Amino acid sequence: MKEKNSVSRRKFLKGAGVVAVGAGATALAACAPAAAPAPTAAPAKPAAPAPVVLKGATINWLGGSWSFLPELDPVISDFAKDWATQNGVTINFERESTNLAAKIQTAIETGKGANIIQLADAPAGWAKSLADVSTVAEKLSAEGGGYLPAAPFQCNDGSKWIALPLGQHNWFMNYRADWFKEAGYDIILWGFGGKEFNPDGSIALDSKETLAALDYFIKFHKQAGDPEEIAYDDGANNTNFNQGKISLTANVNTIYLPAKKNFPAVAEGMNHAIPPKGPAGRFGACTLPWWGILNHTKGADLDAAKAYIGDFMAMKNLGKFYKAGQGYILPLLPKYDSEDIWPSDPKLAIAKEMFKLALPAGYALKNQNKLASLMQSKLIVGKMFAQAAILNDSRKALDGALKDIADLKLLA
Amino acid sequence: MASARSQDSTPGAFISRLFYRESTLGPILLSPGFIFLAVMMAYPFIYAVFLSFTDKVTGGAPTFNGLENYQKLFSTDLFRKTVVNSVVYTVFALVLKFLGGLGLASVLNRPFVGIRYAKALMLLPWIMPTVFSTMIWQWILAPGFSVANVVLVDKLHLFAEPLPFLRDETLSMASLIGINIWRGLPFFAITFLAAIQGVSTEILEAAKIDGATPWGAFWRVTFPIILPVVIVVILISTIGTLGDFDLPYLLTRGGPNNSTTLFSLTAFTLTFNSGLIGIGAAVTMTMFPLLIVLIVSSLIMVRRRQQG
Repeated sequence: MKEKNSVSRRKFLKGAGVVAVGAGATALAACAPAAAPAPTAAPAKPAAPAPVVLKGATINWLGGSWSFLPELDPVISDFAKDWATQNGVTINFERESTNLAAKIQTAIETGKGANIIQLADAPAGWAKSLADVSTVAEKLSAEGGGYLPAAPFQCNDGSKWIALPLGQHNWFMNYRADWFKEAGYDIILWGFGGKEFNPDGSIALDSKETLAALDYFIKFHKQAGDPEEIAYDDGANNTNFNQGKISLTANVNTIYLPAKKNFPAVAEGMNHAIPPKGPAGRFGACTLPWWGILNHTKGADLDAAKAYIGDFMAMKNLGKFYKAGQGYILPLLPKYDSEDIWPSDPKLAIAKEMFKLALPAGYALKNQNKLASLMQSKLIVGKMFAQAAILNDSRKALDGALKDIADLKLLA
Repeated sequence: MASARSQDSTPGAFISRLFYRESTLGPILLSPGFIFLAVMMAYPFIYAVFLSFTDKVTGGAPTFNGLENYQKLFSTDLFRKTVVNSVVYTVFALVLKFLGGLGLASVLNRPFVGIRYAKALMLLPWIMPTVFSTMIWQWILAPGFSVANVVLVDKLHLFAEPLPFLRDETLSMASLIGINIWRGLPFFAITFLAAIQGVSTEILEAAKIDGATPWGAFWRVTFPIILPVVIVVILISTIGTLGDFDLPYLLTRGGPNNSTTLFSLTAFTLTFNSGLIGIGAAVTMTMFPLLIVLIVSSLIMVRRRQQG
């Protein structure tokens, strides 16, 4: 069964493109200062809220299943089962594969159905329908040493928290170490200094840095890319790597883990690396799956939804989720650094290095706005890189992206 | 008897009178269908018209904004592409389905060994669920290793490199049109075949005696007789093709670079992916003037034909 998270992840990869598309697009999307981002200061511990009565409340959870790593679903379900029993709350899970956005829209418009939603699209696109979860976010942030910048960027609208990040998908460079030894192949260059937005919200895409990144990508694609790479989705990316057709791609651990079972020679020969350093520094890119509470949830149901999320995302519980993921999804709180959640497999040790490195698309904004969220969902940057390769013309590709952005600005 | 019934004022007699009179029986029989259509079709349609004149977004209250949505839409590249794609897709698919369907119907109108099997096989693409058939086409046209490219490149040696069916803008649209034709051709063929088989053999024999060639008899005798059926089939297919959603959604998601997005898909993505419900509704409304012109002109043609 497919799920929204994986679709979005697929969209991201497809958009960011595999191999060099991924490199270029991600560099562009995630160009950041060379230094790893510092965690935000942990806010003061909020005053203890008045005790609430949860018994009898109902939570309806709606989201995708973790189809790429099915081990994650039981972690969520098992916790929910125990928590529901202990608190006298009914929790219903609905895992939707193909039409999650439409189902969520229906819940929003009818004010019925889901209370908690799980998505990987930018929360800013759903801001009008999400309840304020600042108290939960601040408590979790305080416990974990303050969220890394990617979390407030995407889940805080500037005045309040509208979503709670479950973690981050980070894009490791998956490569065939055995092939690289043979071919001496250079690692892809990341980070040309291009970006989507200026901090004041104006579009920053039309720059010489963007053109340089596109020109680099065109050259790279011609020389080293699989001709079909720009049409890859996660499936093609994984399949082609495991079949030995490609030797370098951007992905989480969903090439390596299946390869250990089904393609042991590939698993033996491959490894993971952090993205290579580019002229503007070393950058990682991430997407954030999140949970939010729809704002038609009221009274005891709202209290229960907040309490449930707060308890599930507490470090001792969410840590089990990260551990089960083996690097598939990484935390956003620095205190996890010393927790026993990291993959024991040495080839996935890179996860610990990656989790503080990555930033989300449009990072230069203080908080992700509606336009930035639309650009993310419409894969504007990834499409620009794909078009550059198809048209063999960086300027035309950039102009096309600027037109798309102008359309989005007008419509939104 | 009738007089006695009309004088009876019991509820049973009243209901009986309603069913007895033609003037009331017709509306009574029509009412379930009418109510169903009103609730399931008319209400959503009217609500969509209303939304198209508002700034409705997901989770927000709709506020009337006049023609603003339409003004915005008409000035975007996305909408221009949507219109061009929809027209290209509909025209090419319809013309080719019409010609192919007519040809296939003519072939199937002649007896040959295995005709029953041929008819059954021909219907397969039409009766196969679109989700299933589109998955098969995705495998056939997939990037990299695919059945189509193995045949074209490795077996037939027609091309040196694999063709990027779903990556190139023109090839993607061509693929979409091709699959639509493959899926819709049986409907055209079987309907035309039924119409052709309804043409009186006496008329055709008379034409033959008068010296008409098979080609002349078809175009001057058979085709004019089946024309009302042809018009209705084209009309139905136009509505379906112009509003096609499942095929582009499943095969290309409107890409690459919006080159295969059609009215319904653009409306869907704006509504559900971007949360712009008012704008999405406006996209669907832009289809209707075109459809109304087509429907009215087709019905006028059929009526004139029947009167003539």
